[in-house]
Amino acid sequence: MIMYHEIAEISLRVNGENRRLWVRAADTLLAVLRNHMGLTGGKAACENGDCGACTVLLEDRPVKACLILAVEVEGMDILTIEGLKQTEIQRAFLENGGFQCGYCTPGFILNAYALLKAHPEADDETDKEWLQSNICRCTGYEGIKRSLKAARKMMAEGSE
Amino acid sequence: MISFNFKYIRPSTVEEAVSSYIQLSRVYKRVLYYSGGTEILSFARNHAIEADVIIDIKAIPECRRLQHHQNRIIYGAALTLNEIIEENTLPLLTSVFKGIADHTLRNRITLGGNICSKLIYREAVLPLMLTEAEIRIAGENGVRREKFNSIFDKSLRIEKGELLVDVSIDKSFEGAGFCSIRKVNRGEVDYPILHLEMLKRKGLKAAFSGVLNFPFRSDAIDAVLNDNVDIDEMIEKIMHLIPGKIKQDQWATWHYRQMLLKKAIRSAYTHLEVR
Repeated sequence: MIMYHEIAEISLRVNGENRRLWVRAADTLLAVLRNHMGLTGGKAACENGDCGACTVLLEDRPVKACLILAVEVEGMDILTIEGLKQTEIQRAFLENGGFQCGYCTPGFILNAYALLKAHPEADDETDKEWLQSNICRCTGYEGIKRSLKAARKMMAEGSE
Repeated sequence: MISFNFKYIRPSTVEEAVSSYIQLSRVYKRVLYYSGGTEILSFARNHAIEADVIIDIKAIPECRRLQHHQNRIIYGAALTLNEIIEENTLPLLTSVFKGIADHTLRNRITLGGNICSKLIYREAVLPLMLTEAEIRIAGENGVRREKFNSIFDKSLRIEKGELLVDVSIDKSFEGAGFCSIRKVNRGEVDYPILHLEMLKRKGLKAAFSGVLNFPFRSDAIDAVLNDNVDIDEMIEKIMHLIPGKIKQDQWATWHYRQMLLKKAIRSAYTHLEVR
């Protein structure tokens, strides 16, 4: 049985690196990523699980970091936007107007990255189901959908 | 940010979880079982829930299993909704769970967490009501098995410190016809202003969420559904059997909800009768 008091030393594996940190047991993963590790790509927006701006990948699945405790995910693989480099989805967002103000972009990119990995040939229904987890207040949804399709095409061409 | 502190415990067996709860409850006032955490953390941020200790049940193998055992399928309370959806063991469960929250949140929301939710919707209970599900509950005196419908009345009626371990459903429900009608105020991801699940197996059965301040089913309503009366008469009879006052809130007036409810019953009934 694992027990942490109000303040605990934990080990997190973020973007392939292990870090030992002192955190409050009540600290969310989002707070630890931003305030303890300086990884500010994930945004603290609604902090209520509604907007998806804080999305990170936990063991390859998208999750909302504002609704997870850091102590819960000790030893698990966490990927933030800072750990994503030179991927098709990032290039596709740049080339297809996938963002406007950019605030929601890290969350959308990570969610789309996980989607492409889990379902490289997903249909429109699956794309919609996954992307509904994120909100873009600039309403740039068409550009985001276009970017997802473009990334899927790049990946398909790359694997041929 | 959660502005108060708590201790965090992650037991690896059901017995450890229950004994920790009992022992810590003698010292601390507010001890909570914790599964997906989405509701607890969102409530904690607003001080709608406070805790001194939380007991995370996700490392307990019994709470994490999805297993076929004889003629039943067992779903651990700490399985996420997406884990159950991806296995697609029962189409009714898959259909209902896909309507709850959004895809990313369903990677954290668990079956047990939704059943024990403080929110009024608790949509995960609808298929359990219709499939004569059984649940296992662990407490100070060991683990006991109960019929879900005998222990769920507006909410799950378990004692303080008891833990929902798993849910099991007879495999024969796999082929049962069903109809899901879920209405939200706007968009697709939202709490329902009406959610009707109707199942056809040895007659029709219905379960509802979003209509009252709790999810419900009723033997009397099921009897009317199977009464072979004129459909308009049947719907009027059902309206008189709704066990409470239809909700009115900022998302829908009670008139609107009632109208949706009548239409939903008609559509589901027609759909399943034709089948």
